[in-house]
Amino acid sequence: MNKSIENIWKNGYAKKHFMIPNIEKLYNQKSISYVEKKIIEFKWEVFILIPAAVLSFLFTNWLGNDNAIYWGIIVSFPGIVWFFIGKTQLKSLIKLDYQSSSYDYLVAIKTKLISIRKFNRNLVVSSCPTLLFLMLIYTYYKQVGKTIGEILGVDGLNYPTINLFLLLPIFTLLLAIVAQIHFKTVTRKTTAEISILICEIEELRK
Amino acid sequence: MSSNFYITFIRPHAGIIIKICRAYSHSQEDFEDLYQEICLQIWRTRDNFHEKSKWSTWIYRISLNVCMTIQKKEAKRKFQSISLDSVSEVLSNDTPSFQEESLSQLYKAIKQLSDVDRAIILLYLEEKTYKEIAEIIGTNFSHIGVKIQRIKNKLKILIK
Repeated sequence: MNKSIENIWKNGYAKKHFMIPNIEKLYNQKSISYVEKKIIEFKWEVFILIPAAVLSFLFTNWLGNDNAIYWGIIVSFPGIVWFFIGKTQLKSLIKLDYQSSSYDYLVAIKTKLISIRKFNRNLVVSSCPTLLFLMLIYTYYKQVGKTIGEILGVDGLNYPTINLFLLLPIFTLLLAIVAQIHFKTVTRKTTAEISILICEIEELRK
Repeated sequence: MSSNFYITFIRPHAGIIIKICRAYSHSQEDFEDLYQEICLQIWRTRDNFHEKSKWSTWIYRISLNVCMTIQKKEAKRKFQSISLDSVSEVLSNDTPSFQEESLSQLYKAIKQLSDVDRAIILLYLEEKTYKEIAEIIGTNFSHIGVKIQRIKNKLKILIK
């Protein structure tokens, strides 16, 4: 027999009936893989908080200000809290078990992700004034009687120390804007991708 | 994708998709994922088909594009290499015949080629003309003959 590759191919496929894979549950694996990918990304976001908190603690100590250890604890504390909150959110995402319909699964994941992101955005924005307020109170009592220029080492800012508290709304507003931009870009990207999958499933059902 | 679309436009050409998927997959699961992805891609791009070429040529093109794109992504993830034997289950013969064994060997050799070489030889084995191969791959028609000869020589060495 001639064993050319052409013959191997021809004879190999001669009189064969293909067993065509079932495409009924076309989107099952696709949806699960996509959600798994998103959960891994979310896991990273949560677990990075611990090294971030440790680094904040070390950095504050490295600055060597008064009561550096206490400030280190205060600065890194939100990171620890966010980590535990994130872990709970992660669990709630994983808990959304794939039942039988890719469609329902994706809709549930999308809704959950939006609510988690919204909560996190509000949490970050509200954490800022709380933390900053503590710092400002401390600075205020420590530096009372000095001008802002003297505290910051900048000439010309001859305002009383009480004006330090103006930083509170300014920083909060800035953080709110940044958080909102982040929320819109990251969340919209993820939810848009899920929405595409959902739309395709809807079309498949037609 | 309506079941009508699948039955009318894809299922009659399932053999093409299966043959290509087999050359680009490492396991049965892999194979099924590829098959599904190709079917979806054909459905998604159905409006881009303008009957300038045959529908089967369009299917070849989409199938190879999907396989090569996924292959690139998977290469990054260092896909576990699983025995090819499991993929031969897509053929309905109960016991592997001499022909099937030879075909498996051929596939094994084909899988050692680069993505583009794999595509070219698959199309050649499917008796596509040089012009059609060049059209599907998107390359210069004059190089195809030489390229095929080189790939065939490579395969002969790999099969030995």
